[in-house]
Amino acid sequence: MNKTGSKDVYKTRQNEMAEEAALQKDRIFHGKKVHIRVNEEVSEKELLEVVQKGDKEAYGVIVKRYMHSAYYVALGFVHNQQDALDVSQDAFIKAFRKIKMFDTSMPFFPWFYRLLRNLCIDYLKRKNRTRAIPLQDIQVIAVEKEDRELKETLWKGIEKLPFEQREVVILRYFQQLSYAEIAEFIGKPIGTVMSSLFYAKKKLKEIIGKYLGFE
Amino acid sequence: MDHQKIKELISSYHDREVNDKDKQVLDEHLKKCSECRKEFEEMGKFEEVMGKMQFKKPQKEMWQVYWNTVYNRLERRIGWILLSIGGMILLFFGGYKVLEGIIQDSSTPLLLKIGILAVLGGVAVLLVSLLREQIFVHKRERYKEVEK
Repeated sequence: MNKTGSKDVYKTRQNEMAEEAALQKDRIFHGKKVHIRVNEEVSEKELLEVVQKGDKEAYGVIVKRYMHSAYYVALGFVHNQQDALDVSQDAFIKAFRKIKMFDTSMPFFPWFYRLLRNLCIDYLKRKNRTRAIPLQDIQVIAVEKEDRELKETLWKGIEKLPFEQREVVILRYFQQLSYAEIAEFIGKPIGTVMSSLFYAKKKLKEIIGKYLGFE
Repeated sequence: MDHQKIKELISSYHDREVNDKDKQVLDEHLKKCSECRKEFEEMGKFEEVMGKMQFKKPQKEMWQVYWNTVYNRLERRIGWILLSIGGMILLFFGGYKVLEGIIQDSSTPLLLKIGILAVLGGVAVLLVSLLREQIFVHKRERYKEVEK
């Protein structure tokens, strides 16, 4: 995974966004012209203002922009692909219902993330799902048999982390967010993020130490 | 600076979250501390492994229908609300008319009137309860179907 290539979750899917946008032409949302063309990114604020008037087509652009990130965040929490799909879609539905409460001067995804996170927590509580993520849902770039065992051990370790630590691990390693972005997402100071991540890494490093030759 | 603080800096360093001042402190400490140098190397290996962890990508078809599913569910919800409101209006109006007829009909025995009123009241409560469940507990019901 290339960490340097994507530090901002809002930009993680820009290529896909461009492809999606290429499929659409200029549109009029509630009398407001919104350009959706290749190489011309629609202002998120502009789109969300239109969405707040109830325009589902404009919301479709927002959903397509963030559906990948939403799905992978949910997958990190709810353990399997079908549930991640359902919960992330639920979050988009909930976000649409609450969109009038959203401050369009702020970025959408951190606000959406909090809805998604809460739905994931509710979902886990309701289902009492404490089982580990099925390994077929996780892929590690590794060919050695030993590496596969390492992957399994590492993921089991992530699953056993306290929720707050697991959350920062997911956002750091599977969403490639910076500390500042993680802090914004979870609504805690950067120092707390740094500390949670440090202790999470410490535990995980101990767990996989034998595979990496640590004493 | 103590080892604990240095270890936190090592963690942040590998996340590219260390400023120049802290980096200088870290570099100087690592030159003279073998324990922290070992920690630095181990953390580097750990980060390498974590960097290779990634979720399996779902089928492309999933993304193609993703928005359609959200859109349909948004539409369906509005449908449920309208259906429920309409149903309740019709139910209450019908119930009112039936009750009005029964009460005004002096030839109907009192016991029969009470029985009919009780049945209608029960049906009304059950229907309202079911409609409310469809609207507000729909999501929960859907999850039950998902679980296998």
